[in-house]
Formats: sequence, structure tokens, C-alpha cells
Amino acid sequence: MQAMEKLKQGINGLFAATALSGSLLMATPALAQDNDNNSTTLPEFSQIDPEFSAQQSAAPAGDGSELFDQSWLQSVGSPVDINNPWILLAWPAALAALWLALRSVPMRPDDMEFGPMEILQQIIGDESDADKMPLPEKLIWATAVSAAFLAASGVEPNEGVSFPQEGRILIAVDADWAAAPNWGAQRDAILEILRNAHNDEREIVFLKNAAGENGEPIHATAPMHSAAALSYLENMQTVPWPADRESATLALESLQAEGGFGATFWMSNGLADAHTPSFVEALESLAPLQVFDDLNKPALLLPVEYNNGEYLITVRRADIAASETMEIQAFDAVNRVIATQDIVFAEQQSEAQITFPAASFTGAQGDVARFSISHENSAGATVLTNENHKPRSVGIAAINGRNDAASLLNEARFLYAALQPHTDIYFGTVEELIDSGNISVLLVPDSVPLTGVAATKAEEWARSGGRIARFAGPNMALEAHIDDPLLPVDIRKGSIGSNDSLSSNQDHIGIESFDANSPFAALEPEDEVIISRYVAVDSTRPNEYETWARMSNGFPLVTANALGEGSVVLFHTTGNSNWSDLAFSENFVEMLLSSVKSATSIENAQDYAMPDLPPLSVLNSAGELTSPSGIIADLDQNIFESGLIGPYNPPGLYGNSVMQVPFNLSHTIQTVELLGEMHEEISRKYYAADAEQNNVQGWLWATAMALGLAGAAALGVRNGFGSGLGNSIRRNDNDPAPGI
Amino acid sequence: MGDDRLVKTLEMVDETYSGIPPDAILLMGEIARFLNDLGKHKLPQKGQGTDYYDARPYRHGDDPRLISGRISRRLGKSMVVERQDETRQPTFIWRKGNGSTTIHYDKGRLSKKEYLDVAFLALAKSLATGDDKVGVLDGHGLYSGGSATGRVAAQFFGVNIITGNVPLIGRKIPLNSNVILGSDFFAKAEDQEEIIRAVGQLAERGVNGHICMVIDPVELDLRNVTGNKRFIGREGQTPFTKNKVQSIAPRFNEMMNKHIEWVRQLAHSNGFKFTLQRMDTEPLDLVLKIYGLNPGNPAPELHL
Repeated sequence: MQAMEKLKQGINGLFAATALSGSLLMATPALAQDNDNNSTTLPEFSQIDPEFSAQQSAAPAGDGSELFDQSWLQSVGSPVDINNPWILLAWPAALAALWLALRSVPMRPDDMEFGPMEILQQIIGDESDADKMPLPEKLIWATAVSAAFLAASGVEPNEGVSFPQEGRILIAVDADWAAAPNWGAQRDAILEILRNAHNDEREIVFLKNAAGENGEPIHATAPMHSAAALSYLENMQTVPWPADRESATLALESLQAEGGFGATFWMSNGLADAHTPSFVEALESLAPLQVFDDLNKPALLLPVEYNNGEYLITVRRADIAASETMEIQAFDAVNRVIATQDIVFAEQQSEAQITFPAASFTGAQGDVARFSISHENSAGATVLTNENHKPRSVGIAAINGRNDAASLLNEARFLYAALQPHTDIYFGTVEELIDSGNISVLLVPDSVPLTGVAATKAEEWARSGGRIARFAGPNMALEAHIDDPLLPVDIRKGSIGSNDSLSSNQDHIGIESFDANSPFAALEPEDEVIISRYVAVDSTRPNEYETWARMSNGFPLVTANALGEGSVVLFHTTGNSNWSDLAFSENFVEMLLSSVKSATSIENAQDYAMPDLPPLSVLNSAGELTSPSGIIADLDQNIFESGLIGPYNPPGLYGNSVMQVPFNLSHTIQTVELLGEMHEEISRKYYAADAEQNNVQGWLWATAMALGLAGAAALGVRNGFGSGLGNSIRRNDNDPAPGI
Repeated sequence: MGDDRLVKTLEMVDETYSGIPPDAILLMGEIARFLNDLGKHKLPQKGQGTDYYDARPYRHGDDPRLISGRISRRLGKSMVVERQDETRQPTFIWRKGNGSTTIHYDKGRLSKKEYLDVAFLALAKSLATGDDKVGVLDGHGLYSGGSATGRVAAQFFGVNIITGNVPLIGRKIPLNSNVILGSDFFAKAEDQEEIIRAVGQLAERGVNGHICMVIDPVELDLRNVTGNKRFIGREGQTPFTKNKVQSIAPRFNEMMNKHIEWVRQLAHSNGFKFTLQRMDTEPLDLVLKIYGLNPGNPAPELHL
């Protein structure tokens, strides 16, 4: 070990002596990293179970250069590394050539008329002897060339990692959502520790502070050698839930009995929580602690509130030292950006809010699927906004309160069959259903008259936010009248058959299209649907209404209109098979579901029990929606209310065909705090903040270019474009003196 | 007819003076007035005069060379002739007007040519107003009176007058004439031979000679010049580039001293007076030295 230390000192001295003009010292001392994918390519190893790898650790470590792709300089602990050292072979020759070339560059002399030229000639002779480039300028050029050589050779600093005591190395890693944005730098730092541990022949113990994606509990691995540790690191991924430092502390306490640790490292996510002090204490109890902090503190996007046509966005941040502007993007369901706004934090401000007017979106209001903070690739910087998680129970109006679904041919039977698997369904009279407060959508078959008290109550209910969906039929065709508030449009008396002249005498009438701006936008018309009779819009009346579906003869099949806070929807044909076979089609089910799904939830939800909702899509740690894996469980009401985000219920969208529940990380985490001060015994370092700060080559190239420009400018001033500044020669002998 | 000549002369004078900086003309006038204020004076004369005064019998002690053969033969006894000084001994001036004398080493200083123009024309004006005759050595005519200065100046600056390193003497120079030469006497080796020859010819003609060597302080001491310089000389001369000029200053100064000494020896060996005039002194100082009125202010010694 002493010999190794001497060798390190010798190499350090060598590089200190050869570093020119401090170029090597200009870069931020940080680890190199791959700028593009924000990660370092690790050696390929088969996936090794840590437990298994620990068993393999008895085998001596292989050659360091094979395992870590490290240079000899790195293996001996040099403070700098050189990727292409062969380039430096040409460095002395280039400097010598440059020096010779610069010696032959004459400096432009000052012109001076002189009388006794004959005397000068006797002294000087015939050879001119101009000044050569001054030494400072030569040094500028030499430094520029040296910087270029060092840059081309790939000089970069080797981050020094020290192990204060003999023994194993413990690396505790916050591989959670907050670590995701800068995971590449964090992994590089771990890799550097592993490399130094390998060179020092240390065993490594990993402790991942967050539960694994497959639900693995938090526990320390068995001691492992470098190869297994590399493999473990290669397979380590950040998770979209928070680190559990309480469980990690317990895992550390179980290690205290073993002892034998020479150093502990905490690769933190830069945030503190309630269990941080005890966690730090547990780490220190094992060995001297070195903490890696993150300069890029993640921001947290809180759940979005929607009120009065505006989305209220709230963002919280941990680092409040400086003012900051973040960009908030709104995405639709197909991941298109439909709106963007900046949110501004003043100095010392931890929370900021902005509102997104729904009208500002390029798509329909219902299209907003999520909001994200730009360039914050974490699950905490994304909130899913689907507001359909509230219950939308359906009431099917029946005559005299009887359950008419018992009759196969009854309209209610078809409606019940279509919706029953997806939502709660209530039967009753119109008054009963409305008075119960249990429904948000009221389906009124043609056989149920909507007159008198029922009509008055239904209109009042609809105006307060309810949705009434009515189905045409013989009764409506017979009794229709203009200005019926419970119809979206005035309809003609009587019905129209497919063979009527008004129907263009088509052989059969089908569904032509669904309106792209309607709740039916995602539906595809089925060719098999045949509509034989329907009610038509009274075109003589000045109607304003929406057409959600249109028949192949051009007549509306489904129309809708707002009524106060609510709406009325009319299916222009029957809800059973009397006038069409629509009720047998998938389109019918889809149209009913969409009508229910797009309705406003106004029912009394106090007693509402959220059903278990399967995962539709989940967020990964980078805040991207992905398909759920098989391990992810349904979201039940208890988990939803307690916010137990974890491997079995990661943040994401849970739901069924009529209900979707966003389960956001900020459902659980509401604040983000800095790690804060730690006592002096704890060594604190920072991950590379970004690639540019670590780009030593960039600095060297910039230095070379700057010095080159400075040298050229000095040369130009001396020899070229400065000639007109005072060295002009008066050659005209008759020029008089300007004065006496 | 007379009026036309007068106008032409005045025009010529005006044109001539246009080659002199206005300040230099004023300076020249001031010097001339100052000389006039000193009173009637003449340039120092050389030897016996040539004008006939009287003939008398030879007496013991007389210089036998004074015996006139023609008169002695006519009277039958040895007769000597006594002569008196010429009442108007002409003065001829010449200055080098090209090459190294045209250089302005300092924006605030005259060139040597301008310096000599001021001094010599002032001298001419002073002499002419005292009824002495003044002419240009390589020109023609002798002038006195008020128009003399302009006529001399016209010849100084006339385009048909080529003033090289040496005066071209193509005219009759009366015995004991005053000849004043102004130059820095910088010349190539072959031209130096011409200078020696020309001065020798003047000496043979028994003139009262005065060599005025004007040198700029920069030329006197090269230690005033430092750095990286390209020295540009006369047209046709190859420029010299020298870095660290101060390093050759001692050697240069030594050789400059030798050059001055050479000019001094040239003057003395031909019986000429010699004045070394620094360019950082007033032209009046040179004129006074020519008159012999300022002997206590010799040219400063060289600092080697």
C-alpha cells in the first residue's frame, strides 16, 4: 500500500508540473458522463442476483482494465485520466515546431526616416535583423497548442474517492423518483466508487433505499466483489415512488452487528424527509459517511384542481435560493402538447401557481390528460388530470316504478344490458330517481312519458348539472312539440321510415359518422347497423344543437344540447329493436358509455365506494406513461385514500370503461425539502450537475481557441491591421513640417 | 516695362516663399531684423584686397611679391603697388537640399533643409540690406537690396537648380569671396570624394569659406532611438531593419563622431571655418556663428 501511495504521489506531481496555465484546473472536478443518454456504458455482464454474486465474490477480482475499462492512470489513482495518450506523443514535437515557426515570424518594425544610412550600413551590413515574436506571445501560442493537445487527448479529471478505513464499502442509493432526473450522474458516481473499490480490493454492499419494481423489500445485499457490484448497478433502476428511509434505517441497523465497514456512501436524491436524520445516523454508525448530493433538485407538481373552466396548477420546489422559471405543458390523451405556460418562482418562494384556461387548449376540454414540468423527467413532475374518477351512476326511468327490464323487448332491458357491467344502475320513476340523489345520468325510454311534474323535476335536475338521455319512439313521434326543454332540438311530428321519400329512398339507413368534437369522437361506425325508422329534426325551426352521430342519409342520429349546467341527449331512434337494430350493436353500448362517461358527476357520493380499479397505464420514474406490468394490483379505495404509492400501486391511471382515477405521486408527497446542513464529519460531494460542467475537453478547446485568437490578435495588431495607427511614413520630400 | 519685371520678380518671390513654412519665413524675418539691429557689420575678410590704391617705390621690408613689373619697367625703378579691400566682397551660399536634409525627425522641428533655408536666407537678407552682394553658389547672379532675398530664395527653390551632395560650381568666384556651405555631409563614399574635390576647388580660388554642418540630435546620439525599427533613407536606398536599436548606439555614435571629425578636418585643411550646428538650437544661433558673433556657443560636444 505504501508503494502504491508513493506511486500516486509521483503521478500527481508529474501532472501538476506538466499542466499548462492551469488549463487542467479549469474544469469542474466531476465525473465524466455520456452526455447523450445521461448514463455511462457499463461493461456487459449477465444479470447476477446479488445474493448469488456474493457467493461468487470469493473469487479474486480480475484485471481492472477488463472490468472497468479503466486506464492505467485510473488504476493507480491519478487525479487525471487521458483517453488518447498517444496523441500526447506528438505534443513535444508540435511545440518544438511551433517554437521554431514563431521564431521566424518577424515583428513589424516601426518605420523611421534616417539620414546617416551609410553609417548604419557599415554597422548592420546587408542583413536586416527584425524583432522576433516576444516571449509572452510565444507562450500564448504554446499554451493554446498545449490546450488543444490535451483536449484532443481526452484529458479528464478522475474524481477522487477515499476510503478512510479498512473494510467493506456500503453504498446506500436513493434510486427513487427524485433521483430519476439525474440518475446518469448518480450512477456514474457509484461507478467511480466501484472502480476505486476494485482498485483497492474492497468488497461492496449495496442498499437500495426504495422498494424494487417487483416488490422486493428494502435490504442490504451481501458483500460482493466488483464484478457482481457492477452487474447489480447495471440492473438498478429508479422507481416512481419515494425512497423509504425508515425501512432503509432498519436494514442498516441489521448490519451494525456485522461491522467491518471501511466507508459508507449515501447516494442521495438531494431531498430530506422525516427519517433522514435517523438514516444518516445509522450510516455513520457503520463507518465514516460520504454523502453525494444533487444540485438539480426535483420539483413537484401537485394534483390539478379544475374550477370554473380553469385548471389550477401548483408547483413546489426544494431549492428556493434563486428565482426560477419553469415551463408547464398540458398533454392530451395521445401525448400531444396542447398548451404551454411558464410558472415563475421568485427568490425564496417554494410554491407557485398558474391557471390554464380550458378554452386555451387546442383540443376539447376533455382532452387534457396530464400536465408536466418541461425537462423535469420524474414522476413527481407529472400529474394525470382525468376527472372521470367520480361516480356516474345511471338511472333508467320506468313506468310506475316497475322494473321494466324484465321484458326482453322493453327498451330498458337493452339499456340495462349495455351499462350494467360498467356502472351502478338504478330503476324508478323519474321523480324517484332524481329525488334519490344517486344518479348523474337519467335514461328515459320512449315508453316513459316525460310530462307534468316529472318533466318539471327533470328539467330542474338537468339545469343543475344532470344529463338526460332520451330515446325516440312512437310516443315521442306522436307527442312531440316545439320548444320542449327536455329535447335538444325541435323534432317533426311523426316518424320517418327508411323507405319514405324524405329518407332519400335508401335501401337501408346506417350510421354514417360520429362527430370528432363529441364524446363519440373515438367511435367507429359499424356497417351492420340498420335504422328503419327515426324522428327527424324540424328544419323549419331555428335550432341550435350538437350532432354527435349522423345517419347515412344525412339526418342526425344523436343530438345533444346544453340545458343549464347539464345537458339533454336524444337518440333519434328507439332504444330497443322496434325501429332499428342499433340496440344490438357494439356502437350502441359504446354510445351509451360515452354519454355516461362525458356527463358531469352530480350524484351524492358520500356513500360512494370506489370499486377496485385495474391499472390502465402507469408512470415510470421518468414520468412517462407505460403499460402496467403484471405485478401491479388494482387500486382500491383504501390505497387511494391512504396514498400508498409503491411497487404494487405505482402512480398512474387506474379505471374501467366509465371511470378513471389518476393516482399521482403528489397524492402522497406534498412537499420537497433540501437535505440541509450536516455536521462536519460528513464529507459532502455533488453529482455532476450537467454534462457541460464536466466537459473538461470543452474547456480545453475553448481555452485553445481563445488563446489562439488572442495570439492572432496580438500578431495582427503588431504586424497587420495596426499599421495605420501611427507608423505612416512621409515619403514626400517636399512635405513641410507641421509646425515649429 | 520696369513695372512688369518688378511684378514678375515679386511673383517669383511669393512662389519661392511658398516652399517655406510660413512660420519659417517669419522666423527668417525676425533673424534678419535682429542682425540689422546689431549694426553694420561684414563677414570676416580673408587676405589683402584686390582694388588698386597706390604705387610707390620699393622700400626695405616690403614683400618682393608686391613689386609690379609693368609699372617698374615703365618708371625704371622698382615700384610696389598698394591695394585696398574690396568694398563689396560677394557672399555665395549653398545648402544641401535633398535626401537626408529633408527628414523631419520630430514633428515640432524643422528639417535640416528648412533650418538652413531659414538661416541662410536670413543671412542673405541681412547682407543684402547692408549693400553686400549675395548669390547662390551653384546659381547665377549676385543680388543686393530689398529684392535680393527673394531672388536668392528663388534660386534655392527653383526646380531647375539641382542641389546634390556637393555644390556644382559653374560660375566665376572672385578672390576672397565668402562661401558658406550648409549640409549634413552624409554621402556615399564616392560622393564624399566629390565633396573633398569641390571644397578643394573653392579653397584654390582663395575664398573665405565656412562649412556649417547641421546634425539632428537623433543622429548625434542613437541612444535616443529604441526598439524594432526599419530605417528608411533616401530614395533608392535599401531600408535597414534592426531590432534593439539601442544595442548599436555606441558603435553608431562613435562612427558619427568620426564623420563629424572628417568634415571638420575637411574644413580646416582647406582653410575653412567649421560650425557643427545641432538642430535643436535656433537658426539664429547658426547665423551669429557665421558672423563670428556667437563664438561662445560652440556646438555641444558629442555624448559617446
